[in-house]
Amino acid sequence: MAKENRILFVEGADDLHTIKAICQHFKINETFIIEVPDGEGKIPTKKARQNELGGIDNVLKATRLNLIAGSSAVARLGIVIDADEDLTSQWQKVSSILEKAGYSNLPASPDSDGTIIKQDFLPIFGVWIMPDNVLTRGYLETFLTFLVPENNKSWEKAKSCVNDLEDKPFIKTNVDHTTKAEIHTFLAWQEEPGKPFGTAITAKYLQAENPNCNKFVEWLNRLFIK
Amino acid sequence: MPTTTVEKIKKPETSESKKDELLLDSLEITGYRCFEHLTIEKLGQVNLIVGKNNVGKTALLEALWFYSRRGFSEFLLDNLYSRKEIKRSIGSSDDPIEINERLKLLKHLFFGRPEIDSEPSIKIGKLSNDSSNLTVRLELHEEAHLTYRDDRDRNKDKNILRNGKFLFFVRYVLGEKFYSNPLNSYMNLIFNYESMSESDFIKCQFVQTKGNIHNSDEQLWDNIVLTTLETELTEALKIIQPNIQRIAFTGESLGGDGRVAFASFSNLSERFSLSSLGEGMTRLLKISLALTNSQNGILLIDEIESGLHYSVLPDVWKLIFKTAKDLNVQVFATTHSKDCVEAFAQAAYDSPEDGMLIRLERQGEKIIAKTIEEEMLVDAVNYEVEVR
Repeated sequence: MAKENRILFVEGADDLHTIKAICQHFKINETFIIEVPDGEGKIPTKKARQNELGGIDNVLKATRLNLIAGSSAVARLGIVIDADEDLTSQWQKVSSILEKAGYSNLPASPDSDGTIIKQDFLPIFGVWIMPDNVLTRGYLETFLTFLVPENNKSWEKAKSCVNDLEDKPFIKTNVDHTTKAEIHTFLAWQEEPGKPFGTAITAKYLQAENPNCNKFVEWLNRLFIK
Repeated sequence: MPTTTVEKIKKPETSESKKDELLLDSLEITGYRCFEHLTIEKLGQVNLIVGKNNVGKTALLEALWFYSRRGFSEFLLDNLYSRKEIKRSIGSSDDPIEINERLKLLKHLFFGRPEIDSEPSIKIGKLSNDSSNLTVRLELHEEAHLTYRDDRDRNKDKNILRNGKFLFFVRYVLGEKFYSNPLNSYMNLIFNYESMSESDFIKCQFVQTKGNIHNSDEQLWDNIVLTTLETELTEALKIIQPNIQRIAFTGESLGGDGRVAFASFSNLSERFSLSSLGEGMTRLLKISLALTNSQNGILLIDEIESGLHYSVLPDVWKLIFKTAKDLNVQVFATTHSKDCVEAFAQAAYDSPEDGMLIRLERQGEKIIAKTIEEEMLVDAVNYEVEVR
């Protein structure tokens, strides 16, 4: 029961399992629950579901509802979202929700160590924008490239393979998923090919011990444990 | 110190167009019990009040009762007695110790329990200036300044509560009208001295966790029997027992104390008392009686889920939303139950623009109210957000 008052909302199952594997690696106490919000509750509404499970829209909606409609049952609330194509626009979406909920003195841009905001009578709120709160573009997979072991030949090969492809359907006019293609290619060439991200971390194909991951762990610690 | 003033009372106009407006579109309470200053910017036709213990949910209902009864406070003082906030001593009405206890009791109606010599006041009404907004102020009048209309008034004065050379009066301000009434040593208002007209009162029923106040079930039944409201009542009771055909209050009770409710059933030849059908039925009867007796007024229900199985809550809310709309009743209920909030959200979703969830919260010493409109409430339920 106690941990239900500390919630981390993430965009999807990949994020959830990645963070769980990282927490396991660093032996972070499970004082909080990680959830992919979906809004598929008890009251069937006429509005067709625009998006399936997760995604940034559901994360932001669940955040808004918790901060504005929720009682003080949730004491600490964190979200992990992707910068996608524009970090600034994601930050603004989060800021405007916080403002409506009554948070003041919001920073103009996210903290590179992960943002944490405190306000009297409101939950402690944290946001991590993948990959590192700084890069304008990127997502969970970009963060995972930070976890690739140094000077790894498969990784270099995976990148050049993807680069050499003639047909790149993962690059569209407004979205570039090259990094996603690269990391999945890299994971396809491991001892057990094609492991999902969480298990890949546990199997050490991706290494949690590195400055970027430490920063993220430190953010989780500050938000939920300290 | 103000002197007593008599003013002609004008009958308020009752126009058909006003019928569908909410009695209270918003709420402002100043100085009543735990509320130093509470504001709620928007109210619905059906309002569900949630919040932790000791944030004033029941006090909010009592404030609304106080408002609709125009400060007529006996019930509230009785309530303080029953909550044992004040020890009820046994003594005659002019026993100075007893009077002192009663004066202490009176203090409890005001925020911060001020000394009564400070002439504290309570304001309850809409956020906007409105002639229905109520101000009640305790006043001390110097005896020498009193004028009497006749000997009857003079006689009544013997019973006025005194503190040395001062007499206690309660002053009511309703828009531009105001009245002053002396308090007697039983803390009852001595009416007719300068009384309000019936039209100044707002029809109101209050269903408490134990029984209704102000009117007995029998009285409420007598008000609606052989009218269309009786049919509404019978339909309501079918939520729990679909075979009920008719009900009636008769004298056939075991203790012989007044009439009790009996029901006939489509599948049985015998009649049974409604209370034999369980606590839920008794509670549903009380709610339905109160609801059908609150036309164009206010219905207050404390801990609405009390005695009701969670599975009937959706139908109870459905009934309340429908009847509230049909009879133009503004409903205020409190709950602690999650099932109840969810059932309320569903009924609010099915009856758009009528429902409002109000959560009372403590912020330090202050109590504040947050409102959640039905669209957000439905989302909150679906996203499993704790709104209580």
